[in-house]
Amino acid sequence: MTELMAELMGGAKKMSEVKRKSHLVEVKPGVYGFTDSEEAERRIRQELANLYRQNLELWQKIGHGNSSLWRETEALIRWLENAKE
Amino acid sequence: MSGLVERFGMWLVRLIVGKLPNFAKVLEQVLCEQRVSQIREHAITFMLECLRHQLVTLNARLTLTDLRANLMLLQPNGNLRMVYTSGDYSLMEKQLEWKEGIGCCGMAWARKEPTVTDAEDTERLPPSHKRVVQHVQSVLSVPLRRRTTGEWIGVLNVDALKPLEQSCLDEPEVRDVVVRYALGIELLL
Repeated sequence: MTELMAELMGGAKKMSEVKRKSHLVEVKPGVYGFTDSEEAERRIRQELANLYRQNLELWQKIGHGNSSLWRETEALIRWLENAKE
Repeated sequence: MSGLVERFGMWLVRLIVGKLPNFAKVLEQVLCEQRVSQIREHAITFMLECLRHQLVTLNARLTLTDLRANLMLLQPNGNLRMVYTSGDYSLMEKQLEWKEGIGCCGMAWARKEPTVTDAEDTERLPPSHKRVVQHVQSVLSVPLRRRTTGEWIGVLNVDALKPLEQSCLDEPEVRDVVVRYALGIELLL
């Protein structure tokens, strides 16, 4: 029973390691990078840009702030939408 | 006596402002920059606190005391050093400088990509660094750029006193949260 448990535990550990390694790339021992770093940053930037866009549209609709604030927010949205160079 | 000193002080300020018209403007600018700097410090520290709280809600095995966050900025000598912190960092940790390629922050800085390290990397650190941070079991670092110029200026670090298996700093969901905060902090720098 104990052996079976140990085997199961070992199996579980291996499974978790496989899961962990599947989205990681080992740069050197003990140091890992993510396989989807660029895509993730682009996605997160776009999510934030969409949020700011919604905010800006609401501000313009209800007349919150002024044209200077809106221009600044537009610039921020453009910066967020620009992918990592 | 104090009234006399006060009157002399006011006379001196009037004299300087009168003789040097730009002095008032420069003084105003310096005071304004100091205030902006204070506000920035409060805002970034608050964001680091929020980041820790959010990461703890993602992982039931972590408590706030297990998790710390800091922002390192590039120093004139080319090394990275903590400037803003949230969590229990020792003075020695705060004063430690990191070269490119050393530690998780140094690797993230070298790669210009989010990077994770575990206790194995801590073991390989130079003795001067290992002695100070040997209690750190896992780290996630995300490099930061200045929004206005696009230049790389620092690294946002989250470290845990528990190994990767428990801290889960290598999980994409955790990375996404930290990258989101890194983008938010970039807006303040």
